[in-house]
Amino acid sequence: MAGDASNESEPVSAEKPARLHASVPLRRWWFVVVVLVAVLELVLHLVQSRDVIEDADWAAVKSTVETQTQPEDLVVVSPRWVDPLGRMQLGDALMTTRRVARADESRFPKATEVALGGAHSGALESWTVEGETDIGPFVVRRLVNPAYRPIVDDLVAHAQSSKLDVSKVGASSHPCTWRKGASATGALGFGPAAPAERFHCDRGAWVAETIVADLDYAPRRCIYAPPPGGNDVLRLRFHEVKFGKRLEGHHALYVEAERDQKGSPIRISFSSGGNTLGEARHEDGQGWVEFAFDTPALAGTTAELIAEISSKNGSRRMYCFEATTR
Amino acid sequence: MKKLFQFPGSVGWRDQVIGALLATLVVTSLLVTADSLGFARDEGFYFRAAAQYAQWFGALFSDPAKAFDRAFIDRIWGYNHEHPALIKSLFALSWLGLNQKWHILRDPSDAFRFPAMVLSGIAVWVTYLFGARVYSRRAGVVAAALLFLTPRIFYHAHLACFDLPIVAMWTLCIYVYWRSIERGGLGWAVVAGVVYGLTLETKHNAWILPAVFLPHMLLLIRDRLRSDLKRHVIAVPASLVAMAIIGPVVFWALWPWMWFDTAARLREYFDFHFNHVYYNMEFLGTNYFEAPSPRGYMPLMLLATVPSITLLLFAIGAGSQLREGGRAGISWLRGHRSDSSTSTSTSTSTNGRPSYPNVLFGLAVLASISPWLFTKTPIFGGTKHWITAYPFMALLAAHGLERALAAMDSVAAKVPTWGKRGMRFAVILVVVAGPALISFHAHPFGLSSYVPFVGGTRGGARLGLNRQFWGFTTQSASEQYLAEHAPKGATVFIHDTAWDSWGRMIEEGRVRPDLRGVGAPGQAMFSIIHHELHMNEVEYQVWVAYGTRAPVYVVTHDEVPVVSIYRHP
Repeated sequence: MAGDASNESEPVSAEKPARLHASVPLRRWWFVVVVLVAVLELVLHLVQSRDVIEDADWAAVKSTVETQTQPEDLVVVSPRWVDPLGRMQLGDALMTTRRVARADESRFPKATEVALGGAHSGALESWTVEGETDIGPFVVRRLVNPAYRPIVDDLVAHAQSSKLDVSKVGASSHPCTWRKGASATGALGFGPAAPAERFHCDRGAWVAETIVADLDYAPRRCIYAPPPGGNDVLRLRFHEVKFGKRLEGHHALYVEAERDQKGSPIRISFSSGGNTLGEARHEDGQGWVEFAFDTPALAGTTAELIAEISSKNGSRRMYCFEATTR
Repeated sequence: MKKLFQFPGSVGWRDQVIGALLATLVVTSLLVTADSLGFARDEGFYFRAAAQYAQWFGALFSDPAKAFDRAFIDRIWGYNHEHPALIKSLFALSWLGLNQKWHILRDPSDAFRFPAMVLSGIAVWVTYLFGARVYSRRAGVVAAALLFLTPRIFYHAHLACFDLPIVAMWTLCIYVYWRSIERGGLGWAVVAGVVYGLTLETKHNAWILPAVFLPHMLLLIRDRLRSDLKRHVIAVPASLVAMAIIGPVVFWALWPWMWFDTAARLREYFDFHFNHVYYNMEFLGTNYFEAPSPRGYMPLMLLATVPSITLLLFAIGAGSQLREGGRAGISWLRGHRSDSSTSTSTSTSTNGRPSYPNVLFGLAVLASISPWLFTKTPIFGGTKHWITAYPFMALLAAHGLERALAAMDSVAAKVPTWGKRGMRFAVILVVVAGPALISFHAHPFGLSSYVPFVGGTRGGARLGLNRQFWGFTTQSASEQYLAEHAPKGATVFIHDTAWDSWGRMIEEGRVRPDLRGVGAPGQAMFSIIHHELHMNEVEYQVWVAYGTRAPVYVVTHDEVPVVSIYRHP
């Protein structure tokens, strides 16, 4: 049919050759670009649609990462979209909550990066490369953190009944009780999962370690501690915290609770031995942000630490924070 | 006999046969590949709507009085009344006839999907006819192929949704309007009015069509416009008058929900679409969920999802038309009116006046994509929002290829005719081969697929472009993992899959029938996570509830995660 139809295309083309007879002969060959693009697209597709990762590659990567990585190190899979495969192949022992839902990178002295096809995590850009191992399409990279700040104590690790008391303080005070039950989860929009073991406060509120999706949908390991609203305060009393020279933390709300930027700001204050150490304020739209207070007088001591969380309006204040002493 | 297969110069019944053959090929390829494509979220709603509307069609024949009773109509047609009734009615009738009564299609889902598949075929058919009439038969075939071999078109063409139906009706409506201009007469005008009504009754995109027709009409009547204005009488094409009168009547007549409280319900319908909820959509690593939408979304998604060769040819075709149109426009402004009618951007109608089909194509593209130049327009549906542009992009691309082949012929003057034919065939083959391979390879992950020049599926993931929506990949998760590994009666958190879609997958054995869907990860033995940026929060819930970050299986396309499956320890 193409042959038959070719005559019909003549009228379209009839005047074109004359017009295309440009002074520069090369211009007559412009149609080659069409052929080149078509061929290039075809070849690129054939190359790109081939699988490049073999199971053996992942096995070798896992073995290398296990050998090279210390418990205090970070493990990262790059680029980010490979992460689900990385977690499946490397397993929970390597892809711990502290690593995959980290508050920041400053707490890790070294990192092992599993990079596919030359990728490199933006968070590790300033880190010094110590060594690289090629495994199939992967590069397993060892990196040293130039801005490592060791942790003395991690408040999130205290979010259990033996180390923490939780209460709502206000016109009437209620202790929140630690109970073991079923975890609470839901579909999109539910918010962070309530773990099976948690502090139960009144009106369905709860306090516990969880993982929250921040404003960028990144996972953050933190203590879920929604303020009650009004004049009431949620008080968390950490029994024995080892202090350093600084108290550093991050806080945010669950993404859908702060992305509309319509909620009341949240205030968190820290005190120890009757002295205020500092207070931070979180406003909707800030996402996962840092706060820090100097605690030189407490450095080297172990003492009680109280965090108080409040907001004028408690509606959808799905607040989560983490703090470490350094 | 030989005469039967000889193609005359003018387009005629043989071209309808070619169009029908192309359409048959389209429908067959869709039916053959439909089994591996799970049910999208919206399909679940339309399956339910169609099954419900089928009751009304039953009553229409068994108890007509009841069928016209307001309470009955409201009960039946009240469901999913944010969309017109035509396509869902076709789903219902197809299901009643092809599945329930005659058992031609074994699975109800195939029967529900069949009308949209047929309309996909019609879209290709009309595109061929348009191309054959305006450029050449070869251009018609190329345009038809480039349209169908756009990965997103191939994906949406499978679904019992309105996207390919509106492509078909939009294209048909413009075609009929153009034929009415070409041929004149009341008959074509009435057909145009009826087709416009059917288009309005297909999807709300049809309300944009005046933005195609009115500027085109102004072009047609520009020479006599000044004298018409002086006489206070503007002579407009009869087809436009018919569309304005017959169109809304057909729209109303075919939608029982609109028969009562028409003004209020019409207002509700427009309100729904003018103030549509902003759903989530990832673009360049950012989740957009409210205005302002990114201005770069439409252009970049066009570049990233339409095969690059199609876009290049479209640019050549559109560019050449713009150049010629510009020259003709300047001539007209200078008063050399005869020049405009001899330009190749026009086509002379049987009544001797130019009908400007290329202008119509350009307007059809512009009208389809223009809403996404505004930041208030939501982007949650991805490329399907401007899907009506694609037939006309394909037509202009086919024209671009004609120009390229003409250029090739001009440098191959000394090559014998058979050699030229071979060269043309080879070029056409290589132009179509890429889009064909990309489209078929993408199936059933059409929404995860991106073109090779942005790095393919991996490139899309790297750029932070959406990998899917509507939760249809649950079927792939079931086929690849759950069918073999889930214990009998296991509970599965079905995530973004609509309950009606899940129910139909169970009913048709696409998902193992003993598996029980649940609405929260904590209640399930297995949780499915459809990878979309805003769905991450559900995955983190699974980490907490299950105490693991490691999925037991990941469904991938070109090694890019599409679905993760977790097992409760």
